[in-house]
Amino acid sequence: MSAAARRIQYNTQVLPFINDVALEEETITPKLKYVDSDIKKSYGCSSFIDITANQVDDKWFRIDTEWGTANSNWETLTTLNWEESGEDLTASAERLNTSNTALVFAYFKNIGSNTILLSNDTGSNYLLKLSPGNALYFKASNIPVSAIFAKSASGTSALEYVLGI
Amino acid sequence: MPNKKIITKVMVHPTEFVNVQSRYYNDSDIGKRLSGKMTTDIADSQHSSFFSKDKEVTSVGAILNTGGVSIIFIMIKNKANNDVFLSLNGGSQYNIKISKNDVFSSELNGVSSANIKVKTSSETSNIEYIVAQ
Repeated sequence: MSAAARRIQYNTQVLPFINDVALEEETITPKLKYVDSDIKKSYGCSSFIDITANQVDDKWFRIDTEWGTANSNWETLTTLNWEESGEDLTASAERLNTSNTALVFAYFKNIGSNTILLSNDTGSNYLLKLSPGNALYFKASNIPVSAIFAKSASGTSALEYVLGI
Repeated sequence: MPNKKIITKVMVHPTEFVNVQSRYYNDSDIGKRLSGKMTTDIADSQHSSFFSKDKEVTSVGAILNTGGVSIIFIMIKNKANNDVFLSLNGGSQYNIKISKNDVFSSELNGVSSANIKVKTSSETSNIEYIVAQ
């Protein structure tokens, strides 16, 4: 939690594209992609933000790794693997951190198999969506860390997150 | 299957200053770079206001996509000096900040286009955006 200073580098690439139109004689799905004919460009950014050196508590992030449990018997000479677990979510809303300190930077990734819904207004609305494998980040304005809620759209899922002050 | 798609790649690298070397290294708590990638299918037929390469933003909240449709993807790039603030709930709260040259992008959970607004705190700014159904 404590450090001399902390900085988060970030970048985003957004590429709008359109699939090629299949020719009549084609029997396979076309693999070519073209930049969207309306938008005609891609977007991106690369920058950094300084966050507080000493974060609120050890729940300021959840990027868990743990030893694989199925093959931890060294006598069998099997390879040990680090496995990601993250924050387990159900369809019930979960507040990720109870701190009322102002949130500066938030990052989320869905490492589960079901869609995750995020709220940045204390659970009133779940307007941000994370499909499996997708990630997003944002700089926050005038909300506390405790305003962030998450839940699975159905079944269970798992969330990787960073909530920096 | 829609032909219009958007690929989004996000990378975040938490770092921590190490005094001895006077530089930033991997954050000692988190310990790695974080990233995600997603392809979002958007509708082939979009409202004429679903994107813009030159939208002035003022201190008055403005709707970006005026089509009255359900939005599943948003991307905003701030091209100017002043911060832009994004509301997804009709202007009740503008709790996402987009700084100069930053991009904010996300899938959305079917948000009404009328509820997606941007504004600045005082001066004007300029953005490019995609707000797609």
